[in-house]
Amino acid sequence: MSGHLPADDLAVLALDDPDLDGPESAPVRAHLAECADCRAEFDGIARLGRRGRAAGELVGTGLTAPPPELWARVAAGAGVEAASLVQPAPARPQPVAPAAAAPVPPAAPAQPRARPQAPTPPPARPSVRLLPRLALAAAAGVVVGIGATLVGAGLLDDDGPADPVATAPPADSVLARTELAPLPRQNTSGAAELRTSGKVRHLDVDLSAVDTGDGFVQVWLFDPETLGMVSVGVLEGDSGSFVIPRGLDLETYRGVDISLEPYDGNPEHAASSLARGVLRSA
Amino acid sequence: MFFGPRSDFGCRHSRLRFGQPRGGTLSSDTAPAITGLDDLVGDDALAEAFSSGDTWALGEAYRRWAPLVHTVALRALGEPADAEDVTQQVFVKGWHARHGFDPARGRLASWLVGVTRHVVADRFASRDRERRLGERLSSQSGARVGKEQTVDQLAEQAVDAVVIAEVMVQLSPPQRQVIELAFFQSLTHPQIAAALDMPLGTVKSHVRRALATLRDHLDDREARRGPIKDMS
Repeated sequence: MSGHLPADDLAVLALDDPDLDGPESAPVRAHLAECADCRAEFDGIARLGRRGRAAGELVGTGLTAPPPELWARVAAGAGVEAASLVQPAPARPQPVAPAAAAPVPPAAPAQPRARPQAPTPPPARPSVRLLPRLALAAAAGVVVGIGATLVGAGLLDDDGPADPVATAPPADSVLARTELAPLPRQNTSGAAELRTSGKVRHLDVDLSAVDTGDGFVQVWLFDPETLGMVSVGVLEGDSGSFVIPRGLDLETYRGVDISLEPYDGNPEHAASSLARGVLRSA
Repeated sequence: MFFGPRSDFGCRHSRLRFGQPRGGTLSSDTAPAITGLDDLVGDDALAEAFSSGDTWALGEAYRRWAPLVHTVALRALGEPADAEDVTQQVFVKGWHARHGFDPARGRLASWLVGVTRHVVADRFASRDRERRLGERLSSQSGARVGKEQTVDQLAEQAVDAVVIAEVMVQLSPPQRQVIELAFFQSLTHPQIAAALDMPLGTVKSHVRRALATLRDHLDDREARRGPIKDMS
């Protein structure tokens, strides 16, 4: 065997058979014994796979939470007041009325701090001091109402009676929007707005702190349920507007993902998202 | 569907269901809804608030990371009562020692796991003392447990898991799905292709790209390993 093994094959083997004791792995084992480059590549991936699986073994089968009463002991030991920490989750996410679809859940009015050392607030009730951060960090949780808005605007209902005069919204009305929150270790943030002029839908994206380095920025829509993704275009500079294909169901593809792509000729998502958000009806 | 509702996709900051025990005390029909600040405050903002002593940050850090800390302690020590004591100590000590945590140098979760490592090691040391006292009294010889290395390994796994969870949200949805199957279900490439009804070549491509991103972040963690060990 001369030259190096294909990188794809090395990666597959390093993950699927890191000990190379499968019957088909013998020739690879022989090559790796002689080729330091391939050996290093193989070992690196095998080690990564072992770490990933070990981590998955720890957390992947479910973590064991401490009993709820432990928090009171922690709070007492730390000298903070133990406001109720563990709240039973509702069986189903409560629908949020579109008019109330704000970053802060409607059931969680901001509470003024009564005194300098306020007790630890219950988890779903951010204190007033959080609010500036919320504006930056808000990523949508429960998304409702977009579909209704779009249908109401006559944009989803292609098969229904076409009556542009009655159903078309005013020119350039905003149907939905979202903050684009930076992903961990990223600085890029911004906002996206779904706008319609007549029957053409546009996604307007406005970003700040974009550092493209040697790559470029690509805008995607994704479906949080099926994980499908659609690229809607390349963003040059900090802001841009993208025409959304008429047939694209935005009730489904309601997530907005901003990724940094290398010039590698590979049209897939490069696994390097900068910011994300989920459209909510405006 | 392998992993239940995906309503958390893209909406959480690096939560790998850490805050939501699965198969624990909650029944499956009390599935996670929005119970905390995951969607509102990122891990970095929480770390800043924790280090500057905002009291809400202790509660939120506990809500996010107590299941991870407790799981590490339970796996290392075996005794539920010991694991609860350790979990309590980790957050109490961590809160009092928060000035030793530098958000610029590492993640809060990793730092808390480092604290866990120390507290568990202390617990083993005191067990050893008790055991030696018992041996002297009863003249029995006991096999040395030798779990210190195991708790180190557990701590490594826990920190890796934190980093992987953080990277997961940066992957595209199919990349994330493929990596979840590879790591958490230990499936091989052909098994993943069959499970997702996806061409093998596509699986390979997703895995390779996701691994490259994971490798960057995990190597970065190795380079910054200092913070996990400097809790005194």
